[in-house]
Order: sequence, then C-alpha cells, then structure tokens
Amino acid sequence: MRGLLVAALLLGGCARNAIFELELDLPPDPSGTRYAVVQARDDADFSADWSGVAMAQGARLRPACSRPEPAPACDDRALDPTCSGVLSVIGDEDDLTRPLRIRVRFCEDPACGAAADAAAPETRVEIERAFYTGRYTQGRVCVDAVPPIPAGEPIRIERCEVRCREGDAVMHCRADGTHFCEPPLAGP
Amino acid sequence: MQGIRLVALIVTLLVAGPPRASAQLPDPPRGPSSADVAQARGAFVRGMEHSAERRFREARREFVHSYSLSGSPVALFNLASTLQSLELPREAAVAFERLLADPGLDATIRARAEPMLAEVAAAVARVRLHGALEGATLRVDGGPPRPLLRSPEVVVLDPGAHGLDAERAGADRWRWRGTLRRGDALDLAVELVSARASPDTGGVDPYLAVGIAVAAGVVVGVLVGAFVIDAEAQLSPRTGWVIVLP
Repeated sequence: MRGLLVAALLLGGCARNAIFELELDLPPDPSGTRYAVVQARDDADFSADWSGVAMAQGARLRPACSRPEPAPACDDRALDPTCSGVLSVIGDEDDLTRPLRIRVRFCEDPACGAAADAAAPETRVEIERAFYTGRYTQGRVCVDAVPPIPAGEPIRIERCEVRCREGDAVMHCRADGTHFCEPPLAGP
Repeated sequence: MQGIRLVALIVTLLVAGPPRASAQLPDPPRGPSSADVAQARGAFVRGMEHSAERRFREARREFVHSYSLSGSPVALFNLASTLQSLELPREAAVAFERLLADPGLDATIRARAEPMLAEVAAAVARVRLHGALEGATLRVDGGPPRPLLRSPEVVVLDPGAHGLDAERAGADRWRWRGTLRRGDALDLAVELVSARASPDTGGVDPYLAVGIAVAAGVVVGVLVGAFVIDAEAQLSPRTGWVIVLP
C-alpha cells in the first residue's frame, strides 16, 4: 500500500508545482441572479476563442456587499467574504514565463450556459508573470460594479505586483529586479 | 460513490477521533443579539486581516470568536479554512462537516466547502490499533481516557508528533510515540502487558519493542522518501475555487 502511495506521488510529480491565488473582490448584483464565472489561460490572448477553456464554477453575486463608500484602494480593503473569493490557478513548468490571462464573466448561468451569457459583461485581467516553481503567489483584483459591454482594457498586474510570502507589502521585487519568489542574481 | 466514501470518512472522523479540547467548536448561539452580531462582525474583519497576512493562529481565534457570537456559516467556513491552513485537518474536517450539515447553507459556500472537506479528510493520519483491546482505555496525547471497543480501533489524528497510551484495569499497559504525516495509515499491534514485566521499556515486551522499532524505521524511511518527492513537486490549492491550466 505504501509503495502505491509513493508511486502516486511520483506519477503526480510535475503536475502541480506553482499556484497563483487571485483574490477577487466581486461587485454586488441587486437582482442576485448573476454569477461570477472565471476562466484562465496562458496560451492565447483575449482575442482568441475562449470556448472550452478551463473554467471555475460560478460564484453567485450578492445583492449587496458591506463595502464602505468610497471604497478603499483595492490592496487596502478588508474583503467581505460574502462578496469575494480566492481563485487558485494551478500551473506547471510550462506556464512560468507566459502571461496569465483571466476572464471574470458575469453570467446568468453558473457555467455561462444561458443564451444571454454569450454576450455577458466581463472583466479581463492579465498577469505579467503569475507562477514561480514550487511557490504560492497572490494577486488581487477588485471589481466594484458589473462592467459595461463590451469589455474594456484588461487590468494588468505587473510582475513585481505579484505577491509571495517573503515579499514586501508594496514591491515584490528586489533592487536587482528579481522577484522575491526567485533567487537573487549571483554577486559579482 | 464518492459521496458515500466522503460520508464514511466523516463518520470515521467524528466517531474515531480522540477528544481534545482544541478540537471543540463552540456551539452557535440560538438567537444572537444585534450587539453580538456587531461584535462578531468586528472579530470577523480582524480574522480576515490576520488571514490576509497569514497570521493564521490569530485568525483562528477571531473566527472562533465571531462564530461563537453569531453562528454565521461564513465565519464557520473561514474558521474551517483557517484550520486547514494551520494544517489541522482533523479539526478542519469537523468544522466543514458541521457547516455542510446545515441544509440551508448557501449553494456557493457548499460548493466550495465540499472539495475542501474531501481534501482535509484525505490529509489526516489514521492509526489502526490491533489486538485484544476489550476492556482497555486509550489516552491520546495525554488526554482523557476513552474506552477501546473493538479491534481494529481507528484513531484519526492531525499530522505531527503524538503519543498513544493504552491501559487495562490500571495494570496492563502499552505505549507508542511517533510522528505522523499527512495521509499516513499506520497499523499498530497493541499488546497490553503488565507494567511490572519490563519497566525499562515502559511495560512493552522487548521483542515487541524491537519489532515496532524496525517497522517504524521502515515506515519513516518510506515517508521521508515520499516527503522529498512531494516537497519538490506538489503544491495543493488552499482554496476550493480552482482552475487547472492544461
């Protein structure tokens, strides 16, 4: 039995070795009928066909969120758990250097399967570099209102804005330009 | 089928787990006052702030406080999630189980909690005790004694260092000390012998002690190997909302 366990670990070895956690502050939906449905990919940009792309189950939007007015800056606010979620995007070695693109679609169906969802409003996010081998990384996006159609420019999260555990609270790269999630440059 | 397996795991967790004060969830209030709810909200926000800074022990304290005042399923979900982050899967499973037992639970929370429960249920360690256990009692980590009813008796534990002490009629004793990792399944032969028979080994037959030591060495060796492989390659998602890139 124990041998099977080790074998399973070996077989699963390279499948999941970097995880990007996207904190999503979601907008209220007074009708309470919409879902936030998230897709992610790093093999094409937003102009490509996204049908069939990996999708997370939709999170229902709440009619109201306890968010002060005016809302604090995204990085400063305490997230209301009923109006937010943390999405884990799991990547591997092939995903390390490619920009990660995420669509947050606001659909009537939790899988965006309703007819009206074909043109659902959406927020787009592009992370310059999300993954580092063997590391959890984090980024945050706040969507204060369901966006208009068509989708606007993507929210861009620069490489040095991606957090990891050892990172500084504001800047997550060292003076030499390397990210806290990767080793510093070798000395002279 | 998966549901059946999950239920079975949950039943095992609830029935077989050792009684520990730290594993106790506070009971939700029957009718929280508005003042309690306001206080609970404050504790909740503090818990979120601690959690965001990965101060999970402090977050746990605040979520427990929030839940005890409000009975909020969201506070209970966050408490369960925090216990998972603290690598206390047994306690997390108890919290998730209580959350999911609520038939009125919001579908979104339920959808997130179910895979998290499955994950923590898979992360606990299980020790199966074999032998003539009738009439004996077991202490886990120095806790209060509980009767051993049948063989094998399953003890569900969080990963980490533990001690098991079995005793019958105050005279026959058996003890085990060891460290368990996530998902371990360990079989131990409990041989209750007179405490006076071999005081140097804590009452355990020397041959049995050697046998256990050899077996433990093999298990530890395999586990270390598994850990090295695991540490190099595997991260597990810490939230229930997951996308796996192809």
